[in-house]
Amino acid sequence: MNERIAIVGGGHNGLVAAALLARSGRDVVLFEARPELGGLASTRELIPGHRVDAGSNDLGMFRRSVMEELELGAHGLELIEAPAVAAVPATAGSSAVVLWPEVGRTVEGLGGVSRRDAAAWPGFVFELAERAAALEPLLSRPLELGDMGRLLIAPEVLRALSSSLDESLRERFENPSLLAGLCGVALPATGLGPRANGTGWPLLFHCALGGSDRLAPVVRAQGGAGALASALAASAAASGAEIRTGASVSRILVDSGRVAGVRLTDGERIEAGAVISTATPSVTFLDLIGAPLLEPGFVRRLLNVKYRGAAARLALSLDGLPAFRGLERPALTGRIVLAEQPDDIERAADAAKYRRLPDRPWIEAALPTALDPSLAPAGRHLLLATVHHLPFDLEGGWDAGRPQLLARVADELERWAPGIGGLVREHALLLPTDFEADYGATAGGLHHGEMNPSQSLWLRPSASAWTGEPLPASGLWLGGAGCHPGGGLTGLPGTIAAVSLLRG
Amino acid sequence: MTVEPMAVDGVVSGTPSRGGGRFDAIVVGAGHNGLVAAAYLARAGLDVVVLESSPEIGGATRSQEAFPGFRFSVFSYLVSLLRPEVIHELDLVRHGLLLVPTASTLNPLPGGDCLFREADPQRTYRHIARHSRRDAEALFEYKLEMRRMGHLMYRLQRAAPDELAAAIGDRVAESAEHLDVEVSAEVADIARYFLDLSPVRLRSFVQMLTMSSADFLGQWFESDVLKAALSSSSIIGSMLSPRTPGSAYVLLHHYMGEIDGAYREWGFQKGGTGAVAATIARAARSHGAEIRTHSPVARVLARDGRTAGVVLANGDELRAGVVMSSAAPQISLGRLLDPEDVPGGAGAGLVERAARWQSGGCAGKVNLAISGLPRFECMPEPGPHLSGGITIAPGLDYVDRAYDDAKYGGFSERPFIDMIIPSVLDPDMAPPGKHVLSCFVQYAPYELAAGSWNEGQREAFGDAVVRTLAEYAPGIEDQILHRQVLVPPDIEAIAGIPGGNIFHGELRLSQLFLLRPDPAAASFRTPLPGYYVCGSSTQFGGGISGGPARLAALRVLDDLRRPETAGDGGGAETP
Repeated sequence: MNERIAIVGGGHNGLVAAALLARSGRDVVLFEARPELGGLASTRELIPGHRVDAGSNDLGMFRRSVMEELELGAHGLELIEAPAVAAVPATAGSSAVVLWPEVGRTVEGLGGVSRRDAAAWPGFVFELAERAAALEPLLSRPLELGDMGRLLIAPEVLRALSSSLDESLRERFENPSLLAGLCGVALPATGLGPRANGTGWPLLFHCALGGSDRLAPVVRAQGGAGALASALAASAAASGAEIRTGASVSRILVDSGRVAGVRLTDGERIEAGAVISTATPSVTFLDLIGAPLLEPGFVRRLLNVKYRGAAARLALSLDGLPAFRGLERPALTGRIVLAEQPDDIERAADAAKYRRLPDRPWIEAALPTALDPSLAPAGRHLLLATVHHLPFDLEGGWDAGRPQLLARVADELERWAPGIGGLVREHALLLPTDFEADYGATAGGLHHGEMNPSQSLWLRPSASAWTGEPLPASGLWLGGAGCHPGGGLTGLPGTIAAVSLLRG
Repeated sequence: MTVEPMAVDGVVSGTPSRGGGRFDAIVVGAGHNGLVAAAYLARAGLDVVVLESSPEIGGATRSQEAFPGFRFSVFSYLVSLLRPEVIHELDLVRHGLLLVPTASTLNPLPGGDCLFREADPQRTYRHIARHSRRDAEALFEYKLEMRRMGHLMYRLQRAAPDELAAAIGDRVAESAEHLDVEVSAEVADIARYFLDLSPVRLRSFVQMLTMSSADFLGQWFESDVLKAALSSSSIIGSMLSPRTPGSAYVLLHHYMGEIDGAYREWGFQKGGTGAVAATIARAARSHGAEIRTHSPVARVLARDGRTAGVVLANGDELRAGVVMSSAAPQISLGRLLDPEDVPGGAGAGLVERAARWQSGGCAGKVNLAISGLPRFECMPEPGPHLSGGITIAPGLDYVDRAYDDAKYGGFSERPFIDMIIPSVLDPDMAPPGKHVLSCFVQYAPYELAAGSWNEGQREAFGDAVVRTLAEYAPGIEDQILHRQVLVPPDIEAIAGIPGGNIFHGELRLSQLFLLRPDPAAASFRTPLPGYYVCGSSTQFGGGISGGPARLAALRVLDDLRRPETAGDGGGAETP
């Protein structure tokens, strides 16, 4: 049998798998269709002279142990921890709130907003960290049947899986900006509004993988998220892995129930005894393997994977730092949540379920140049505005929706940072349709499958099985965000795939 | 509004004086579960009294002659989940149980179209095939799968959750240490059945506990009208839309029912659901249980770390070593229990968690007295469709928009309505030629953003219901003789359910099995020995099932036989 391992996709998960396997002495070749590596965690010159992160740029959830094992520091990765986790600016009717990793600093700031919330904050962070720590091991390895029994009698996990974020936060807190800020940390790319049951889960997930005894800090890579991909690629190459960009896999070849290799769009055929696909389940099975080789029941399950949670990314080149009301410069280094209250997010989710644009989109903004000025030419700042809870199949189509969305986002930004419109020099916009076309994100879903409880844990495909049922070809492994534990810049699906493959 | 008591022989008002107020067991609340618990205890030879705060028995299971000559099932309106073992063991048929099956469901659609599902599968196939041939095919497979799932759920609900967890824990190893429970052969059987399911079915089951019914139904069907029609059972009594995660479980909950062995049959009780309560009361009394109305319980009495009886609101004390409460946790664990009385300092946690119990009501009831049968645009002439359920849920977006209204604190401007015409099945419900129309309506939140419910808002809600009905049954507004509008605060006031949630608490993972109604009370035992919970907020959940109370009563009897266990009956005589 051919000992070579082919990896489909050069996103961070594919690169992690390639680097880990190469380090273990395996013969690895990785194929990335795009010219640059990193997938949804890549950095592109979307605006000339600017380094724009296409998708996620927060490395706070990425496994430190994997970084160390792969010696990413030696391969050029420099991490910058943002002083702030999240901030909500003030508006005419609401106060500014800043969440810092340090409990005391957060309490001090909250004191001026709500004494009750300030008093409740330490207990909240402590309990969240405790629950997150209990959950973390289950997210870092393949799940076993015994885990199910353990989880099904764990009240806090059940609560997270079945209660709404809105209700669980309101048990403790009252200030709308604080509530909105926490929702803004938890709900990006979930497709669910904070009033939906099950939204307790994303916050717990986020904290479990941001793991420490405090609120998961925002961590960025010097030079943009693409620097992580570069370091991973360098580490993989140093161990002997072959990495081919601009090489698009059109088929995973299966022979008598075993993978035999891959075929590229230009017809080239590469033999391999094992294939790790980091594409979405739909792409992997329906496009690369092909429905004729699959059981009808399997196809039905595939067609029922939900990919809601599309987003658009607007990058703006600004003449200076925008003035978000009530926020000092250090507060601008983390996520900036532009929602006055949880219902602003809920109403955006409402619009999406009826395939409409929200009247007032809620925006997760970031100012990466506040931490790393090298991302933009001197004197310029880069603002990344991610508009979440958008429908992929917008009524009337995105050609008509594009200018509407731009106008609404501009209005919103102006409301939160008066005068920002005058600072804008250039812009670039990625729509949900671009995320699908450019990055293979089925239906624009950034997590390769909605991260709701019914698509998490056992209900998400694992590296080698889909809830106890083996994958349809032996030698095939899944290593992308579509499998356990899910989306986000964690490197875990790729790690689990590599570890599972090595174990056999 | 006033409610006339419905007579049940031997139900008396006020404090019992018999025997100096000493009993073997006291049951708090005379809803159907309280009555079932009392019947089981009395049947085993215990001297039992049921104490009901309101003027009449039944709780949310009651009938009322709201207008002269017109009788209504005030709140709950159909029976399906009533457990066959309860019917047989308590001999309810002899005591008057008479369920008439409702054989069909009509979903009127805009423009005079409809979706009609009848008992005859061939005709149902043809109706559905008009909307989608693929769906008509899939319906058979779907029903079979739901039957399996419902059966699985039913089996899991048949066991006390602590025993079940212990049995499952034993099988999946190492997790059962803290569960010190003896597992019966029956429960071990259930655990084995559960764990031997194929991975695909197990996945499907776990998924049903977390996903939305729209997504679940989307796995089977393509036509919006059928998905909306089938999703009705997934929102009943729950502040959920078909698109909210968690609604698939509520759907499953409604697939646990049967009538006379006919799976998922819904039945109408002659005389309305109040007659079901009366039937159970008769069974309880036939075994010697005493039932007292106008007897509000103020708190549970404890002596030396165990249950000693109850104190009534008027200060009277009744003694018993066993007290069972069929009320919701806010009352059972929050109000009736003095945290100081609970051994081991567990009381404060109980009270705190009871306050967090999710039980906001979301449904209203609009009962109409009408001068003649409604003429639905899709089927104007009288016919079999009028003796079945009729549901206004013409599409998923429609129901979701109704939910959105309530989410932000309004009632649905164009509500979801599930109705029956009881007088077609039981002519005694209305004067000759006239009819009663019972409309279960969502969504009506317990609290309105505009303030609390007042007469004006009640009437506006009633108007929205009539307006909606008139879209499908033109002219109905002119047929209405009387109208009774009930919203969650009314359910709270009349049936004594905090928040007016018909299930005594949302049916969701965090409020099921080992967490229903509280991690410390999921075995029906509370941390105060001798004090038990047995209502809809315990294992088996809501609906007229009697399942929770039966399991709870069996646990009490078991504890009395083994006085060394935590919940032993103490002062009670062992039968």
